[in-house]
Amino acid sequence: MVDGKIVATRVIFTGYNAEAAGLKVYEEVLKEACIDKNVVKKIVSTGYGRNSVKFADKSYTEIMCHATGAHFLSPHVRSIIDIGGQDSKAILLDDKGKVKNFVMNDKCAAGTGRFLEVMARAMEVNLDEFGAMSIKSIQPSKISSLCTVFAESEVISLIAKGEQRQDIIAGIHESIAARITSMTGRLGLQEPLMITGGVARNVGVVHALEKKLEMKIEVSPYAQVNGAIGAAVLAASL
Amino acid sequence: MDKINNSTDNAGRITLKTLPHAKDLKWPMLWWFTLEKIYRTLPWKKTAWTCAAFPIEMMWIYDIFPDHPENMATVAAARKQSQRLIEHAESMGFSRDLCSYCKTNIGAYDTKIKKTLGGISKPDIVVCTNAICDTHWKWFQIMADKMNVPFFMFDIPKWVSGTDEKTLEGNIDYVVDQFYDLIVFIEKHTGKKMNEKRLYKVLDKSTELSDLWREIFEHRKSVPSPYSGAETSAAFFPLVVLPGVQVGINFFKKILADIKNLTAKGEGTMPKGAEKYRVMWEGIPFWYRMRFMYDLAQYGAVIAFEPYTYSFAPVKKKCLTMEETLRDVAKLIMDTPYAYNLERRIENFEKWIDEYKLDGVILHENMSCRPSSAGMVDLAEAIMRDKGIPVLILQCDMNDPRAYSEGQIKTRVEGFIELMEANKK
Repeated sequence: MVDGKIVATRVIFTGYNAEAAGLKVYEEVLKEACIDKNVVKKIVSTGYGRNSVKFADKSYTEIMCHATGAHFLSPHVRSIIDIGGQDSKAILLDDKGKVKNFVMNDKCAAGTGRFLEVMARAMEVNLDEFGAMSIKSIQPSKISSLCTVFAESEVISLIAKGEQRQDIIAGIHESIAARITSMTGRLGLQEPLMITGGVARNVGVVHALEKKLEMKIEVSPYAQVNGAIGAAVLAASL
Repeated sequence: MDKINNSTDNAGRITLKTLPHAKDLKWPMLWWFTLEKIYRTLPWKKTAWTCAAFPIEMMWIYDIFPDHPENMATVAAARKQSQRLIEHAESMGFSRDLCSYCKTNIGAYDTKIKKTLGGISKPDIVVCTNAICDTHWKWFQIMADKMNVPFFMFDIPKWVSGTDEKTLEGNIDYVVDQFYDLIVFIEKHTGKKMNEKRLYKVLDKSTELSDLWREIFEHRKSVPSPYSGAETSAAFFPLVVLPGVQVGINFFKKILADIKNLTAKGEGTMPKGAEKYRVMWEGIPFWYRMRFMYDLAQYGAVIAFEPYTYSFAPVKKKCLTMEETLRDVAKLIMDTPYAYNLERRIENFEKWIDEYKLDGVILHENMSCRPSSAGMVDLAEAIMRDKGIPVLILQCDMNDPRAYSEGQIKTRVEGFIELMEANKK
């Protein structure tokens, strides 16, 4: 970010060495933006590997960063649902983008991006097509299991029963929406509501959530890097 | 370039200072462990299994050694044994969803693990109550059956808001009747006889122990905090198994003197100027990872108050007759606003937040303990609404390390610290 403008973003897999991944993504994003290391004033790290980024000036949790990022992109937003690969969370923020409260999923992969990855593999569908496919469903299947592993076997039995692929996928999205809705019930969402995190790119999940929550959801234009944008905004204020 | 400054990876950067006599906890512990050995060696001495909320004083009155499966389960967790014991119990067919104390105890008994690692031996009798935990009932019954030992169950009705006087009096009668049944049970199965003189002596000592702990808590209101949850979580041990004997009183007196000394100098458990956030910890600690409490210090947070250890020291009335005493104890056992009565729980929490000048509350939503976890969402909402301070609900478990997820807990805690920081601005 330069003078409050996003100049480059980059997403890579962390792998087993978070420290090296941090360095790699930093170098790549600088290259993409054609910026020299020496002109970078401040660096803020966030996410699960935040403390592994030893060259950062400061680290903030993704809770704070998602709130700041969402506020930067859409100052009117008052609630965020963030569904990432490893967890999901809901955040309430005030008119200044300050976090008022947050809740996170209990320790389980169901209701996270990882759950969708497992399901996409079981359905033999590319994750990117998952969302669009489910929109075609007229009668979503019922996925009742609360556990990723059990849900996968449930999906396999639905396939064996000959249920339509789009219906099963729509059922998977509904099960995520149900899980997120019960989590956000603890928080009390306020509109306008934004969704961030990689799963926000899945229109099927967004659609199912809107239906379940009975709320309109704004998708962050930078869903996957929304937290990183927040980190950059926070870095500017250091 | 500066390193990140809010990382806990430099654990040990801020060291919590322990009280000069903190190490003296070893004496009541050693006394208790040695006494057990003696009581198991001498044929005329008797031992019992008891549980939390059971009037342990009854055992001391009858000169019966009160062994304590939950206490030993925490020892197993602190010695990093609980997971294998839990897994052993699960392999015996006990559900993964059962209480982790229960499974640790079952595993410890079945594997005959050493006492120093949290092991427990067969007692002469098993006595328990459902006063604060509904699992106690079946758990102790199963173990009594398994060990072929006489079993006594104390059924305690709950005293919640709206309980009218008549019902309350009826409930007290019901509990007092069971005291007499318990007396018959103990005398029948141990051959011991009630000694009223000893009863008053034990009760006086129990009251003194409770009073001392509450006085210690009065001094914990000082800023900076002289005595954190990191220490009290272990130091309250005498309240668990030694109410009614002298050794715990001696220890608490030394602790109290240390605290008075520290607060007189204006010092605290954290280095000068390091205490930024005073936090309430609610629920049973993560016994297998007590470092959690020390990790908090790296953010400048200190556990200034915890209802859990405080709840072990209720106000005890001095009574003149045995009947009056039993009625008072019956009332005390039934009255557990700490776990059951949401309205009074909220009222108490808000009072403590003011008294201990707290900046935030952590609620441990314990997968093993439904009574202590129930109502937490309502409790959190009320605190945030009325007191304007952040509340963090942590889903975890007291004795099962499999429930503790390092990265997830860290993110939640750091998010909570950020909220407290923003709240102070």
